[in-house]
Amino acid sequence: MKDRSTDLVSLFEKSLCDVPQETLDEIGVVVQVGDGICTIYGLTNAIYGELIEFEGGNKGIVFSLDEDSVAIFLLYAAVPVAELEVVKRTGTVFKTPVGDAMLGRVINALGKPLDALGEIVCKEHRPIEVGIPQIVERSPVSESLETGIIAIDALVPVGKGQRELIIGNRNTGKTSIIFDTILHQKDKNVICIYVSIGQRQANLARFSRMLEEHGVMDYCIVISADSSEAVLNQYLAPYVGCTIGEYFRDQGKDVLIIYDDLSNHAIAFREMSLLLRRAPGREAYPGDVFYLHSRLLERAGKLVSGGSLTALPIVQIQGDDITAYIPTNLISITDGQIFLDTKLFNQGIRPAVNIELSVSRVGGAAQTKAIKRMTKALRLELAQYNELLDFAQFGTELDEISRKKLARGARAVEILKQPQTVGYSFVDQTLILFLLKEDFLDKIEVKDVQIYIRQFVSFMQSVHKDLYAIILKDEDVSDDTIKRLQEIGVEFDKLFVPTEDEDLLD
Amino acid sequence: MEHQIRLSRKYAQAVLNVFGQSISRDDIMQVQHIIIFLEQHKKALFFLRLSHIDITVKEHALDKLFQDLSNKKPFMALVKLLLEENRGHMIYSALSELVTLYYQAHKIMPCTITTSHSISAESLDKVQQFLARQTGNDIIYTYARDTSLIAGIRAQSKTVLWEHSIRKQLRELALHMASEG
Repeated sequence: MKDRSTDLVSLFEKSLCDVPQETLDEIGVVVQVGDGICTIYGLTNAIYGELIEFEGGNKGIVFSLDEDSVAIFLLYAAVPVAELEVVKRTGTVFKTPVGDAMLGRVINALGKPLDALGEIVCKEHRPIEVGIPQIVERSPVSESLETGIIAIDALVPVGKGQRELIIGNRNTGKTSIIFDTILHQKDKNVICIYVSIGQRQANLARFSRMLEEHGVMDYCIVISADSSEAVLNQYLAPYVGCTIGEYFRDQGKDVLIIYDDLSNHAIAFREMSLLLRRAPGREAYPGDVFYLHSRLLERAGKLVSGGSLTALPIVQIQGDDITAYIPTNLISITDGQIFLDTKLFNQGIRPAVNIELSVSRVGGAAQTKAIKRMTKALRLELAQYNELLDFAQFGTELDEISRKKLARGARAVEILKQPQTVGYSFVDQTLILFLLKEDFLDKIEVKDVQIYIRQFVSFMQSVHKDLYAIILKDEDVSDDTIKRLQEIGVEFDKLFVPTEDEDLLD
Repeated sequence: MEHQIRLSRKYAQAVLNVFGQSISRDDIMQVQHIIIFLEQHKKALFFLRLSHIDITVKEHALDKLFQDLSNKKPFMALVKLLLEENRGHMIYSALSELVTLYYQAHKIMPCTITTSHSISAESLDKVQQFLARQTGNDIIYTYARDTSLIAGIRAQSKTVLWEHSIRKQLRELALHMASEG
């Protein structure tokens, strides 16, 4: 036995002589653990955001540096951490795997697969907090990112590289808009990243199943940090998604990233800040909650080098109150907002986009010329309609002009209605808006408007393919094209058979 | 708790500022025994908290504790000050901080060396020299055997760890396998 031990010692002595400096790990010991946060004594040279390894297998990120101790948030809630457990510095910040292998996958905030499709092999790892592109690296938002939703593309257009906030109460169709937008990117070379933060697992499962069923997962990445996960994961998820998006953007690709939703992200950050005993401010959020989202959303943009990262953050509000703390922060950070109204949703106007409260600050410059030409007066007409509608509710007798405006407004509202998963290309939208602009819908009953516009689009696609192709190619409508469309409209009017009244059918 | 540690550090720093030159390494080693005693007899600290026990009784008790020290003046000064300010119970943390600050000031690193099998004093000295070279500090160590290392050696201080053992290799292998799924 003694011989064995002597051999072992000489072996270690030999290895001791060759040991490089790096093997001397800088450590600390756990002095307190609970609520996903851990206080470590030691780690004197640890840096903010550094990844820390626990001997028991857990990992964490440094969030607070104190005189003697550091506060670490744990990455794995299920891996136990014991008091006096030794922790080691890694000398690196938290990094996420990035690569083409991510496409079509559902992953968690740590880049691990959740879809049982096997391991994701990525060669590259990137830190999740990086500097934003500088002014010289950016180019103006000038290209449209079609959502396929006429109410958005016509009135609050989104450009590639824009940050457009989707804001609304719960159950107002926020995720439906996102789903339709992702669906519409098929064959458009846009990579879609959906980041689910603090949502129910069932909702996410349904969402990813729908993506699979519609065959669009090939260009999608779903990142999930559901409500049951450690608060750190919910905090990290949007930054991980953004980093993956930047990988594709840097390759010159267009990327659409959706943060669903940032109110949950702010709540997760609030929880972390309160656990770190940082001073609570308004609504108990810490003082730097604005910076939390501004540094995330500033990473979106269109680059001179070609790629773009378009961000569609979602924020949930209560009681249609857009003046709450987080919504106002996000409204000021983003380049516009799409406000989804509960009242409109309950009236059956879906998507329930409230045109008056929705705005796109840069999208107009990116809007396709064809649509831009057709929507010049639409916003005004809708505003006048809503005003008159309120007035008409009191049973006031209206003059002829007002009645006409009301009738036209009703038809305008009708064309903006769109069932889920039915996306219109910009040519379809141009044709639909043309019908309204050129008064073709005025003589059509409101109940027939949807049928009329769909049949007209179908008629154009099948009978007047050449003209359809011209608009598609030019992305504009010339005077000649309008003249031809007018002729076709007249021709279609003769062909269109309105639906019969239910009374007659009975 | 954190506040108490900070306060204790201030007391310890004050002692070092005033008596730093007269405190030797041997004194610190002796103080460490007192710290271990207080750690094992926490009741003593509880009694020091009780206000109805006269301050002279407390001072007498602590004087007994420090009686074996060759240079007890600096430490008794600390005791008196703490008792006068009704902080007698902080003697344990103040002494602990004093030792830490002394080690920091004199570049001494206390270390625990554990091995799977017992090793000779010469080998331990080699380990000590190795650690001194690596850290740039004087190493004082306590030695222990730990069979859970399976085979190997582990040297750990409050801030650094050096381990070369089968247990470490197995742990790393397990983590690697877990991360690979």
